Amino acid sequence: MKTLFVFLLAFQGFPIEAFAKLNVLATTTTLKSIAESVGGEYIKVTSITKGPQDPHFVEAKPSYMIRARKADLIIAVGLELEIGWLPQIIRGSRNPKIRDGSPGHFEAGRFITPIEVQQSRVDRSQGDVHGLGNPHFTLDPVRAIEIAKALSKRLSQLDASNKAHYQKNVKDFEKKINHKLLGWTERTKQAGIEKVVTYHKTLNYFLHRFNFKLLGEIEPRPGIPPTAKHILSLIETIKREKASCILVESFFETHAAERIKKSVPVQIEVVPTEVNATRKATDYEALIEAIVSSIEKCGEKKRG
Amino acid sequence: MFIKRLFFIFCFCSVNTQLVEAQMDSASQTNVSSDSNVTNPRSDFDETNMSESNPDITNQISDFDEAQTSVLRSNPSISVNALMLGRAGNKGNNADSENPNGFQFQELETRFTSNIDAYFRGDITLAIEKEDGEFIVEPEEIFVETLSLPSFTIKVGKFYTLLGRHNHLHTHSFPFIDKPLTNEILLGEEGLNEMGLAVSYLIPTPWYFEVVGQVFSATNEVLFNSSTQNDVAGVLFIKNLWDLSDASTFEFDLGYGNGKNSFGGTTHLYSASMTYKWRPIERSMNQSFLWTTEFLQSHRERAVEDVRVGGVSSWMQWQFARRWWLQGRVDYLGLPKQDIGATRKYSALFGFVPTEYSALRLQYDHISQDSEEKSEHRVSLQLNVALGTHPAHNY
Repeated sequence: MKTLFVFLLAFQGFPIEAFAKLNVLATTTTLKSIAESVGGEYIKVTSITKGPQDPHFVEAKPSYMIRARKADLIIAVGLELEIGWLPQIIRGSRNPKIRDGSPGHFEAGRFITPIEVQQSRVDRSQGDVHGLGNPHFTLDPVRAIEIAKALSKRLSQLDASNKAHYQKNVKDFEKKINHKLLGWTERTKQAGIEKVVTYHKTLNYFLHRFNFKLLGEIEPRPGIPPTAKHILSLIETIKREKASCILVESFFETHAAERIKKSVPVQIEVVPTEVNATRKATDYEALIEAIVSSIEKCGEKKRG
Repeated sequence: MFIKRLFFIFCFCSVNTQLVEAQMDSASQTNVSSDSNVTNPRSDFDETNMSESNPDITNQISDFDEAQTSVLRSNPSISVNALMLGRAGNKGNNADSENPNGFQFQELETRFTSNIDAYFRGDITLAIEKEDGEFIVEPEEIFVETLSLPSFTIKVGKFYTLLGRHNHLHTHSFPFIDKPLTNEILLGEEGLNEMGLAVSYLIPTPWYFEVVGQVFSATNEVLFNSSTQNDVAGVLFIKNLWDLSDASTFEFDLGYGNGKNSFGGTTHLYSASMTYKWRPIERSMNQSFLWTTEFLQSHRERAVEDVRVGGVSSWMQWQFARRWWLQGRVDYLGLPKQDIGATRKYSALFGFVPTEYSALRLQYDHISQDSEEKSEHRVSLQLNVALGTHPAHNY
């Protein structure tokens, strides 16, 4: 009987936080990777989604609620990317620490400046549009650094004893990414590609950062599968603009891109847009590296 | 030994109260910490400023946008589900048919949800439907739920009782156009839906293990119609859910209900249900599969002879392409077998679901009763649309 009560007491989350690492739950694998760069060995972080899982389409499974129940901090992308499932997971977890408005709730989208904020009224006839801005900002290395900085401040707030470590880690991350950014900028310039077509609007921040022109998407509207009419008009655009590179985000199939290839000479490259979406994208650096090398491959095949 | 036990119970409860108080305190801090820069959309933002993302800009918010966003934030989420039907069946032209032939307005559900404050969330569903030729507005669910209690959720109001796999669903989220036969016969046309209180506790186990205690007024026309006005009935519901893999889950639920009935005796209600769900994590929108089996039985005690009615309903839903569904259901009412015999209902459904907001579903039903010679055949076509911000459905 005694052991049962002690057992139950322990499970009630009796405040032993001072001795335990911060339990962090990220919604995506990319956010998890950024959190690891900032938190290092001082936090324990896991991700709700798996690499090959598209974060748009996640169901609020009760097992996610169980994981959220133990979390001290939840890190989400925001800009309504997870609006279909995260509020339910937070409610179902019955963990008041991670509710929106509490320090244990961190939405990365609130710490960066978004693009494609909708000026006019959006409604569902335009597809799956995010009115507050394009939520795929983690693919911009500069914004990734901003997120890391904001995250280090929040971690320091929740775990003041390790503040110095978080600050050092984020400085190292910033130095590393800024250094790589020089290389990536140079390589993308030399790749010989100016205009690209993508499947969804996932790569827009990346393309802006490295000065590519986005001709259009294979989806006629976000979340709507490609129609024959739209594919034909896309083929015309590619011919007119003399573009040669189609980047298909790894979550989507390449059938439509293959159909375009039959009508016009293009290179198709499958790119990861989240960490672990493909085998090569093992962490944040490797993720951006994978996209940059796909563009280089596009360029080589074009010349060759 | 008894004193020791009391002492432990006291410590346990006081620790819990402290935790509850601590959480209530944290719940009242609704403002994000001061060092965060809140970004708001602004109408004058120029995309070409992108070369260097400057967080300092985010503090300058245009008045119009701030007003817009606060209006949006203070309004509840409002959604409307409209269900329209067309029916044709061999018994649909009978005067007393519950499923008449022709075009029919099945139901219009309006739902309002909102966080009321840091402590409560409100959820209201009003249904507009036709009854005896007249349109009526019925409050389907009106309840308030706590937000900040750790491990517990308390719900007060009028709501569907959690029992089995189907009773708590709103009409627009029924897996088929209609309810399973067992639900309709055992729980009544409106289902088990009463004014009461529910306390749900999430047990701290590595799998999802929830216990829900529900207490409500004993006025369900089929089950609990107690003669004394203030009688209450209760249902205890236990839900277990395990991840079998990244892509599949298994759920097992048990329910037990108890209340006074119109015969002056007690009604006992039993439910057992299992659900297997599969959805791959890659290209997850393109296919999925679900299989549920639900047993329901009611046992109404009375002086003359106890009445036991029960049955099983089992259904499968197969999403074989991104927008297409093929479903089948078997209902058997006759556990235990009645003097009048058993009733069997077989249903097949073919659905086109282009987005989560609209669906066109074609269903064929075959109903055969031992007591009747002629079986019933029926074809129904339903248009099911959702307007507004509807909260996500439960898993």
